[in-house]
Amino acid sequence: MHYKIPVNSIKYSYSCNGFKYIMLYSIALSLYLILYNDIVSKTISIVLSSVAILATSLSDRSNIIQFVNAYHLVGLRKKSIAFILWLFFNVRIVILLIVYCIFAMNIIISLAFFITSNVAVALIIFQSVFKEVKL
Amino acid sequence: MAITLEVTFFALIGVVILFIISMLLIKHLKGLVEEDILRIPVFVSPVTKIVKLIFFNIIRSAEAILIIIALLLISFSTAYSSTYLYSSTEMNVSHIPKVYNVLLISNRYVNNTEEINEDISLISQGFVKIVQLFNGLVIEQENKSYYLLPLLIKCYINKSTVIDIDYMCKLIRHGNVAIIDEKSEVDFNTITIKNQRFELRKVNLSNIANVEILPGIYLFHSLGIIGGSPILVSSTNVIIFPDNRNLFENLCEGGCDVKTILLIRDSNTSRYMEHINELLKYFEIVAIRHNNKVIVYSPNLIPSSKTIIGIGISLFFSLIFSISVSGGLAEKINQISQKLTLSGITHNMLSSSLAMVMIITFLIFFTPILALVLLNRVSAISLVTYLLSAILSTIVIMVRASMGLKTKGAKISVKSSISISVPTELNVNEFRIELERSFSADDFFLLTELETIEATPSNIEIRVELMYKKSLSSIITVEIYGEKSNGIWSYNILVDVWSLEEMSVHENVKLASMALSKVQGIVIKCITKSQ
Repeated sequence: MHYKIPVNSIKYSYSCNGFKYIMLYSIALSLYLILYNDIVSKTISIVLSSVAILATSLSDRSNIIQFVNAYHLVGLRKKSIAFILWLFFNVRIVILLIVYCIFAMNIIISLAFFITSNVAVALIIFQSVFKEVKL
Repeated sequence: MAITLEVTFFALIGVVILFIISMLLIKHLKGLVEEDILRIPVFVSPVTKIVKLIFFNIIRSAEAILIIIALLLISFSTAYSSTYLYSSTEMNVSHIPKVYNVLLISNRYVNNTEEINEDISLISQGFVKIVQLFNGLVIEQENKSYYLLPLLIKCYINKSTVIDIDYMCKLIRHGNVAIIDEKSEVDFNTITIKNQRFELRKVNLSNIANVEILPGIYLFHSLGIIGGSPILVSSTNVIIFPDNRNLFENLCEGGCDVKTILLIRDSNTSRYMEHINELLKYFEIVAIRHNNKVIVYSPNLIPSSKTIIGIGISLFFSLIFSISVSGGLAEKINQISQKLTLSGITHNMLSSSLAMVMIITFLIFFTPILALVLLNRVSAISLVTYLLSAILSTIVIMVRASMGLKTKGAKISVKSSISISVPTELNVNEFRIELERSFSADDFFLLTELETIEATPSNIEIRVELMYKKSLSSIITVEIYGEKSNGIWSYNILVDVWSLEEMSVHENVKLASMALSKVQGIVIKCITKSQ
């Protein structure tokens, strides 16, 4: 796989609408974490953030389908497409992870968020790449 | 109480599971019966059908599931954030004497302090319990009536900071002693309440009568607040008894207003902070003093700035979720609407059906929150947040979906004319009969006029006027021009829509295409017949 493919997919992630929503969400999340600094609120926020990642995938649905189709046509392997999609979503996850690291100030919480959101991403990848189901 | 609630909850789940199993069994057994009872046809309004169709399409979509999960999470997080932890207020109490470290106030008679002590094992350092009874005790003496408000005191204390309370504790410890102010005109040696006899002692109570424990709350009864200043009962109108359950029941026969105050002297306040949840089960107010500041916790919702900001953030969250998800949802609705518009469903009808579906969907998921609120599992603020977020989401989705419907409508470029080239001629009489037969039982159009002109053997003109049944004044004119050249007949069918009503371009195009398809079908049928 040429190095430009993952780089371009990261660039593409920035330009999609879902990224704007994630930026807005990160502002709200940082306010939420400043206000409510207890374990229950943080747990709820982790689940909510994972749902937000899923929601952005739905807002960029047509872009992702196009993206996957284009790479299929180019002849990229499914594993490579899955890796590229993982990068596509992890650009967004990193934004929220930074918010968690700054405002939650707890490595376990940040790690829990990273794992939960990646489970959500795995679900999207499985549906769109391996099962080839429309999101 | 909690156990019975849980039992009810599990019983409810059991009933639901049994119901589902029985329904499945009935469905399974129905197929085994030889004669199936035929269902009586029921006439359902088209709107109900549309709502049902959109509802089942939406409820199964990932977007709807996500937005509902998000809304439920948001409402639960708001409910949690508005609990006592965040509905605490801080007060400056530098003017109030340091009578306590922890103050507990309840609006009912708390008898089981020992039970609470065992339950929480906190109130072990000694405390003073004061019960203010707002049911007056009438004492008659020499044709004069004295109205005294009883105050019950119980001391589990070795040392108090307010010396007068300490002194009273000592006096009352002996049991059957009642205390009144030394200035009181009541001049008895003993007082009997039901079967209990108390020795009456006169002590100077004026020093502790005005001791404020929290802003607006005093050791002695306060009857209300006028113009910002509390109305306090005069020390001469108060009678102090040692606290016991029997006496309380005798004094408060038939029910009365009570306030129980516990003044706890314990420097280790962090223990109480950890067990606020348990304390708030028994008391309405838990106040913890740190030097000149008191933090007041309450199980009742106090709209603190944190709670209000929390609701604001929740609404912002739901807005983001709705915007990000509405695009996909609008796309799904457009797919359904395209099919529905072909059968004459107007844009307004579709948007109102969609609004109805959104309301129904959100109301269905409103019930679990309502049930939890009724069971006192979550705070009522979650209902408010859920409703506000649901309204916001409905608006966002509606706006996005109707925008999509309009743009889709404008984009549809259905031809309002069509041309057919065939070697055979169209038989006008046959066409007339076929047209009349076809429109006699049509749901949408009524044939009003039919004109035919056969100018030359190679030219034919037919004008058909149709009336759209679903509107008041919409007329569709269909013109068919037939021309023969080089042995081939070419028929051009043109459609024009006339309406006095304000119809959108989208509706006009749809109407024209419907009429065109109908007439085209008849023309082709007649041509193929004559072949």
